[in-house]
Amino acid sequence: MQGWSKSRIELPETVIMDILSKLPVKSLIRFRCVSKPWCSSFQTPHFISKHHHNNLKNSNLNLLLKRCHGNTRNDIHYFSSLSTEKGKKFSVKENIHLPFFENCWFAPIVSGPCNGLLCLHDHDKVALWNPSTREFKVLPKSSVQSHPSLDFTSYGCLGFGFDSTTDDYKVVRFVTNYFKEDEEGGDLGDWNHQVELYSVKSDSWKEISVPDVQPYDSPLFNNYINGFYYWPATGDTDYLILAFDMANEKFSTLPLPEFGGALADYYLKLLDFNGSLGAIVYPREGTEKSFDLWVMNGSWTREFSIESVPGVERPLGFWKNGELFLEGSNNELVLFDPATLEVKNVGIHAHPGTMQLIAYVESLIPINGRSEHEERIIRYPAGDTSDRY
Amino acid sequence: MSTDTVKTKKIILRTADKEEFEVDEAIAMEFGTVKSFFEENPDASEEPVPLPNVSSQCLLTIIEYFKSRGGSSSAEDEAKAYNEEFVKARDNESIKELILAANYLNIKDMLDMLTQAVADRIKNKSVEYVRRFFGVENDYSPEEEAELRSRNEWAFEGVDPDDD
Repeated sequence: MQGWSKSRIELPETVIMDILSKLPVKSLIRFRCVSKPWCSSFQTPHFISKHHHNNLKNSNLNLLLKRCHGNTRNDIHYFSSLSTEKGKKFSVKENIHLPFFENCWFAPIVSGPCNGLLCLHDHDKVALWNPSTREFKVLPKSSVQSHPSLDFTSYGCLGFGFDSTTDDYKVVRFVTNYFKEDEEGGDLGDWNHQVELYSVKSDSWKEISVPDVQPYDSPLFNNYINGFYYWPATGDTDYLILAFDMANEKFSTLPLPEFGGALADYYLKLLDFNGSLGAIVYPREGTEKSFDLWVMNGSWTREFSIESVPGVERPLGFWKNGELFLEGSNNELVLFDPATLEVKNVGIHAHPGTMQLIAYVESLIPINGRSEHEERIIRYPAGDTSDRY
Repeated sequence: MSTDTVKTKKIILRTADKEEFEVDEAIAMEFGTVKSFFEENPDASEEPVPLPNVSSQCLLTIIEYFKSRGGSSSAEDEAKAYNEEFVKARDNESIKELILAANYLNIKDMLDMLTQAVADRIKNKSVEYVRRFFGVENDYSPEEEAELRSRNEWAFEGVDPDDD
């Protein structure tokens, strides 16, 4: 090819890496094949962090919708990847099935995203997922609960986040162990609470001390904010928030916002609001709902209210420009625009209460897992018929 | 009688091919290199600033970019559209030359804009295209490369055909 012999401008290495750090993950995975030095560069913490930072700066958000179409054991929860391109109106790009969670009682609950990573769990199954690099890591079973008279273990709340001091991702989980009756002594079966902690770097579980308060509820939104994971919890006499410091591996508590109502009448869901701990409060009853957004900055303040949105059941997540995704009373995904007060139907439906929306920023962060292909995870491109797989 | 407050201050820049350009101070100070030059040589305001790593063609293009762009008061959409037009007409080699100049002159915003433009240009391209673009040699053996490709098959879907 004679044309290639003319002198071509060579860019300095730092400029090349600067350009490459602005590419989507899919391109970078392909360009690992360009050369061995490039492949190594893409795996350095410096490049990974620069790449993720660029995506955060440009608010490049990707959307995954978890849902189901019924409530029998044959109805499997799956993920739909929604388009965020202008004019595509959040249409389904592909549907993703995770065989690992196919025999769930309920859906896999999704915690995260944390730096583009998700943690999925159901009963004793836990997995980490990087949907950008298509890496999936099944966590090993814990050895913490082994005890000769253990009857069975029930799995409760789980938290997932990042320890910036050790550059490690951790999963904290609450379990309750039930013991067999002591046949000789006549003791009734006993139980105890335990808390276990997994880290990607150690690839193992260890026991940590149990807090005095009990977390409850599964997250609707991302509850990992700035090095802490949060759960609503119950103490001896009141409701409060339990916080877990990913770096120090210690628990602490926070009060709930005084929103002027009772939890019996209102849902209070924790979320990440622009990097601060937030809580969205809305009534349990009715289909015309108002949403109060509280933010914790030293103390709780009510940031704003979205009044009287008709025909909705529950919020699913904030989008850009203050827009709010919700589950409509017609079991469809809708988008509320606070500027026009319009509720737009996105045209995607699901069985009531099964939708969970995850907005994540792409990342190259490795999780020492296997490829989606090896885990038999299949992505079906959306057909031109309905959005169902 | 002070004349400085009436006239817009001009700064003289001298390129690699010894050409001199008179540029508004406002524009010249967008160049980090020029700004640092005056900070280090406060008495040199009348002398031409030497820019031995920039061709006159390139500097002219950059000056035009700033002149036509309008101030920072222009709307985000307008600025975005202007940037797209600026980049669209140029071929790969001239964009690379502008990147080298913007990098040398330390014009952060322009460099960010140009590097993003190149990223957008190459994101759907093949591995071979990108090797040629950056002049990178393939140091994988055919077996190694084949293995890497098959392990990440999904990343090779929807790639633009190589016709340039």
